[in-house]
Amino acid sequence: MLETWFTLNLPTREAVALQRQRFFPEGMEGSFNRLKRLSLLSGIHGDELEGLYVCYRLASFLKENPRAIRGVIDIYPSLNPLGVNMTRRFVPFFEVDLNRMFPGDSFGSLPEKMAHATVHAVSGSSIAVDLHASNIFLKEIPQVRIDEGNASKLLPLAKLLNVDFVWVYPSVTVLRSTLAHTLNAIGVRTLVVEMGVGLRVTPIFGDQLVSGLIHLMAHEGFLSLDSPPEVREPIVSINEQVYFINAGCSGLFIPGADHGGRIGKEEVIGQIVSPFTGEGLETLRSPADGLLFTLRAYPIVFEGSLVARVCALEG
Amino acid sequence: MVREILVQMTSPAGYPIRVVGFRFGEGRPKVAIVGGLRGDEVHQSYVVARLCAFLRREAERNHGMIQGEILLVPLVNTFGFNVGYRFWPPDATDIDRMFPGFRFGETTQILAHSLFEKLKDADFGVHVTSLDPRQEHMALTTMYRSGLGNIEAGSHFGTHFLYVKDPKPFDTGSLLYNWQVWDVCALGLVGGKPSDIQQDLALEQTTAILRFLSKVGVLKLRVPERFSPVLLEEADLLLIRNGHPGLFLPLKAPGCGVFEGETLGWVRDTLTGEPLEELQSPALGTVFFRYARPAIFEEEVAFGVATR
Ligand SMILES: [Zn+2]
Repeated sequence: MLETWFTLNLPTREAVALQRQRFFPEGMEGSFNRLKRLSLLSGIHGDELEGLYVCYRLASFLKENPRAIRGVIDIYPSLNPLGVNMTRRFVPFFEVDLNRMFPGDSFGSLPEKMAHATVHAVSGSSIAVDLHASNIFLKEIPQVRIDEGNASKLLPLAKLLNVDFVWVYPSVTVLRSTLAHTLNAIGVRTLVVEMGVGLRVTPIFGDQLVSGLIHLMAHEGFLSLDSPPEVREPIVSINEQVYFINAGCSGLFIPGADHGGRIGKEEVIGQIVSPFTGEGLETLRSPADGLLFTLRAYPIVFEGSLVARVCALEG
Repeated sequence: MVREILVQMTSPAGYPIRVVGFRFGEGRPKVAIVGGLRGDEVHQSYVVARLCAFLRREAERNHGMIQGEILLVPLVNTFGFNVGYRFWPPDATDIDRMFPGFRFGETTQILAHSLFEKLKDADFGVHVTSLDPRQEHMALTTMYRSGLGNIEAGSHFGTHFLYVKDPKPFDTGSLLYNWQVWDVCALGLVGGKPSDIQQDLALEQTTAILRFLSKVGVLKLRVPERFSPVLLEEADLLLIRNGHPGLFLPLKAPGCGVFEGETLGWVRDTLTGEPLEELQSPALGTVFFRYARPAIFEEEVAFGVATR
């Protein structure tokens, strides 16, 4: 059932209802408090649309398989609806990143209220999956990102999601203000998924993740299925080095390697060229044998723009 | 005065993007004064630019006026300024969250790194800035609580208030915070609102910097005394919220003294024009800041009143 979980009152005194789709096991709509809950979250960054496709596919699957449902499954397609409507990453008008506003404040500014309402709505779930789609600049293979402080708790869950890659990264102070950090701190095991690229939908990635979500839900008892989809074993980067490759100059970036593939040390990732002089300005090479899991999708680069990330792999 | 290019970057469209500094004098103490880390901090840039004009003129006819070094950086986010945007336009990052910077990082990390290399050896660092882009403040001095040893230096500006802040996690990338980490006596000078120049306020702030420079001994100049600042913390501010969304029509300006029950402003219905509520001061105090836009959401902080 479609439910309103928060209302934004705009200066024109129009009210925008924030909605979620809630699925119950058949005939158990009155037993909310006795059921465990999983929340699928998307659209906290209004320029990331891959998650909306995943929400669509999963909601459609659940509607076709109502008898398989064993727990409450909540789908939140757009946590930042003004941003989604405007194709803006941040909360419009306030120009702040909603994912740096957590845990939020019910008496604060609108973004702080939205953050607070999100935590309030999702708390009590045993699992949450926060879907991100990188940004408009970078394309990511389907991956889960985990703060190392939560690795032991989240890694087994992440392996169920049918992603290609799990990146366990060192704790960073500023990321304490994210939704995932806040939810994990209050006992909601929350996985952050990054995949695809901003402002686009990549169905092949979305379908891969939907299989993973169904597998995870079956494994964790939210779905009862005769034969849940098989999942792949992700590459997990804990001790392996993740290399960042940044542009050394400004210009036009032309990729020269396949995103998501293996790349050898010194192999060409791409080239930065000058449309003015017709010259190549810089050839970017892989610093290691590894997995090219991030690749620039937006061709304009400034000095310093991130062009690729490579996870070094043995052998 | 020496004009110096502190940071230079190429851009994909061909033209260079530069951060320019102006150096007066040499030796110690060294004071770095930075404005315009955001492209919409026009007022704040203007405060530093007026200081630049003043120092250039005075230093020409009064040799020996400057005893030490003053480095002025009126505008850092030149790219944003030129296109009317607060953040770094290509990726919407906030330069004032990128310090100390990283030589091998993203564009604004490199920019922050290159700039910070020129700023971190100062004895005193002054950041002319705004606290919240949606608020208009009276002239005040700010510092982090961890820099409380610098209270005396903070009082040299002679602003009405010296506001002591507790850093939030995202403040750890600010210029002020990192200056302090590098043992620079770091002070913020706040006033006005973005995208607007208030000339009287700007001159008051420029004069406050001159007062500061004279008191730390880098400038031989008699600057009239102003306030002995009142120390203020977040807890000393009464926040007045509107109930209804609509059009915000303020009556009282930042810096005004107000009585308890005094009308501070109104909210009217955006479409019908009907008054929805009167905002009143809950106590005797000073309007510290007010909301600075015409459209207001429900339960915004419309005014802050200082009661000390
Ligand atoms: Zn995101």
